[in-house]
Amino acid sequence: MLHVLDNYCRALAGRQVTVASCEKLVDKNLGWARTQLPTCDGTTIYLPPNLPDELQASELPGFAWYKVMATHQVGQLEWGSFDFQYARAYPQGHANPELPTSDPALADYARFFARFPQPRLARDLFAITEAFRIDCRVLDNYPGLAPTYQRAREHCLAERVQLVRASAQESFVEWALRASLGQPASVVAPAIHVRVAEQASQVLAQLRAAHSSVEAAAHVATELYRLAAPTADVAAFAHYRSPVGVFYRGAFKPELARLFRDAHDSENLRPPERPNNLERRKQLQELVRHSHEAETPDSELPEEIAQQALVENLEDALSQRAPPPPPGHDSGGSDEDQDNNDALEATDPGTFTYDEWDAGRQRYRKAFCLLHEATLVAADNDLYAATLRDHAALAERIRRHFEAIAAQLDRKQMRLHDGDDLDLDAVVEAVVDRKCGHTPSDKLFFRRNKQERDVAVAFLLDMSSSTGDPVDRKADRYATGTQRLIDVERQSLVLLAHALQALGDPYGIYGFSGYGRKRVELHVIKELNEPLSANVKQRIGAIEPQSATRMGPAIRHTTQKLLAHPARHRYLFLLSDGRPQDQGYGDHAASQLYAVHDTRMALLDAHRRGITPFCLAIDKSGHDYLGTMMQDLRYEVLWDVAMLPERLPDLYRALTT
Amino acid sequence: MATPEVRTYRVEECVIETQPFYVPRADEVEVFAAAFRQRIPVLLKGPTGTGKTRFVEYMAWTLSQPLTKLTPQAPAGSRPAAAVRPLPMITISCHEDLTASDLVGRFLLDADGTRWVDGPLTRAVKAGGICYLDEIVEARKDTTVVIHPLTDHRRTLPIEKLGQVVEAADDFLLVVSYNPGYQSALKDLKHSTRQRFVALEFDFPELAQETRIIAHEAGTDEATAKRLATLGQKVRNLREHGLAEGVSTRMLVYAGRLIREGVSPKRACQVAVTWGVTDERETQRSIDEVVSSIFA
Repeated sequence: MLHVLDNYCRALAGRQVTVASCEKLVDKNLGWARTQLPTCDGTTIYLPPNLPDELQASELPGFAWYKVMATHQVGQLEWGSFDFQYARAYPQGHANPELPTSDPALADYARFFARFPQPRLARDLFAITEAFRIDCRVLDNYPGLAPTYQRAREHCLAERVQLVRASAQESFVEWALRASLGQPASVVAPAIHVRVAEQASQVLAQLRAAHSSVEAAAHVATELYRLAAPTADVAAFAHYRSPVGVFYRGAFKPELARLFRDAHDSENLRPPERPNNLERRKQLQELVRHSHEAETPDSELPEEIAQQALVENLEDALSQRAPPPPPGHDSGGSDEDQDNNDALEATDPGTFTYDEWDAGRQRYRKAFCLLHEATLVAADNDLYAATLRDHAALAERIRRHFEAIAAQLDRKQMRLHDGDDLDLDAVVEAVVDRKCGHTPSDKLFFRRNKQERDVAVAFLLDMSSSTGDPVDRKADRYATGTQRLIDVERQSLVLLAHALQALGDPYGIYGFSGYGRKRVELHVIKELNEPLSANVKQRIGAIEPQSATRMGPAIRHTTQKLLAHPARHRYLFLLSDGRPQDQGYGDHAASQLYAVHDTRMALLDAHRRGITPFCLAIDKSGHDYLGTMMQDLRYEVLWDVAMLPERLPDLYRALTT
Repeated sequence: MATPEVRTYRVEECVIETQPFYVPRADEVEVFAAAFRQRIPVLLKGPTGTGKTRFVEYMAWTLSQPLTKLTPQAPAGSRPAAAVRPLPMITISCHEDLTASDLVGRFLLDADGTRWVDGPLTRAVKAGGICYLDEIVEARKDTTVVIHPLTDHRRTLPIEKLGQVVEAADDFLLVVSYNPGYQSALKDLKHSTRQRFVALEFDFPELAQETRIIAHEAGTDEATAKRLATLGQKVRNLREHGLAEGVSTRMLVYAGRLIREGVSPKRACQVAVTWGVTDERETQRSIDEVVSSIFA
């Protein structure tokens, strides 16, 4: 269901968005304290893992509730709930010069709320008007969903609890909230409030217009605020309590969402355009202190410390989204070891140094990585034979395809429209046909296919620890018999190796892993010219997940091996399960771009030297970075690992013929 | 018993007689007309169903109109804005087995021996007009080389087997189309080929334009057309996330036509859109959910 909703939201939003469980968000301790409410942080829509009991009993099926929730959350993205701009709402500037609305360091939302003596009341009203605006847009634009959506609203309206001992403001806010859920204005209200209520519902109705913007919702909230609190008597609010939230609308946190989304978007900006960290810290502190959007979790800690922790958590979360400051601008010392920029030397046999591309500085770091090449120790298992046994039919099919290619290579192609010479059999048949009065075929020629295959392929296999993940994510990774990613990769290699015997192309199999720049490991499973011996078969059986993924040096090393081979067409086939990742190499999400760019440079370099790189990624989120990494180079993302054994030989054929 | 009348045309006589419906996106009509006057071959890029073929038909018609004035003052020395006669449009759909001799021509056996038969490209080169090679990357590599001399200053087509070189008719223009695809580009156009064309990029139209197109082509009311166009936009957001290609305008038009025939909108979108664009169950469900949100 998550996957269905994921794509559903992506389709509706028209921008990068994912769906996840609320629990993930709560775990990060970023101020979203409740698991049970759907919410959106600008790039991810969080939905509760299960429905509250009272909704399970409702007439709407569970999926309908999820769809309503998701549509409302995604509506906030589609119709710009997080795009509020203070300058657009108040082009003339600030109404009340004493209020801190003119502080440019404040974010748009903070400046808006600072206009009011009681920002919390304003916040609640804004949440109501904005949710109402989104509801109207959804009902207008999705007529198919409208009946369900309307029933959900009615259900939530009916579930509202009568307020007890509420202040006038609280009653008014509750009333406005019910009006936003579609409660008619004529419903019982104390006589003195009827006029206010009527005015308020007229004000609210402005938002029904098809083009009303988030700024319009802010203005409507302002008008409601005036109705709710005609005087600026702050004392009257001392005990103000916010209304109970509406389930399907969830938690609306525009300030946080805006921050997260901007951080996400700024990944594509150049450094000077990115918001700097000091400014961001100030915004965060302001936000945590004043906005109540970030709720500190209930704990023993004093409020201030809890707030500080929250600011730090938020900073971490935000900087994970934004790319790192380029190392050149770094004040230094952020990496674990001090000798970080030292060139390394390859002294031991079987070691090689390689440069690494630094995207931040736009130049190579000389001899930055040390690569250790070693032949993989053969495993004592019969994986090779077992795979062929278990997949006998598939193995046979793939092998036959390859035999067919081999057969085409040195066979005369008969019965062609055109060719080197007349195909005598065909001519005789044609003559006979004509004498018999049939229409003769005009395919009378044959051609000798002199094509010679001159192809060498190096398979570069990602042996990072993530390949130990189970294929079926729900499966227990430690249970025996759980199919891991690496198992599928090994099986695919076996099937391909088996089939390639029919073709006779020289091919090499190399695995890579490593830990840190000084220990990039390249495991030789089969050298380019090595025959497929029993030893090689056992080495395939020994392929196991190891540590990290530093792709750059491994690609550079394999490129060297390919360059030493005389074949005319050389291919580097990269098989990976995810983005490049290693210590100091995209190890925290922050420096992912560094790793991606280094990998891209390594591939481009191979391409320039006449090697055709191809990347096959088994990663559903692969497109996010593969687009950057491969650009005009060839790649494919496999949605389903189970397709690998069949797809790999197909790609091999398509690529090399 | 009267046999039904079957109308067949020689390829040279395929002239677009009525104005094809085409909504210009930007200045592609003017650019194409300018390229035609200068006899610069044109490459149309874009996903399937974004109106490439329709555009060529529209241009063949437009350039055949005697009074066409696309630019008020054609620069001195350029050829007349409009062709002096209706321009034939010859379409050749390329496929994997299309060989050079399929295009150029071959010897066929006859009662008296062999007889040379011109291929469609040769006929187009001799007759003039717009020759449209659809999905050029699909063709075998040797065919793309055949068109090289036609696309530069030589404007000739060598016929090796006859030892002849055919000079292109004055109003001959080569137009090719291809769909770059977004991933895995196992098939790509060679640079030596692509750098012989001016390239026009096609993408899916904007909401308002697509609404207009669907309303016209499918004959549905404005509201249905708009919903279909909205659906198209939403589904296209899934490109690169489970979908290899966005849903084409053509599919949306088909859905509209089914709706006009009385098929329920949800079903029409399912058969024309959902099942058309993907075989993956989960993605199908996601699209179905989008459909059921948009259509009552």
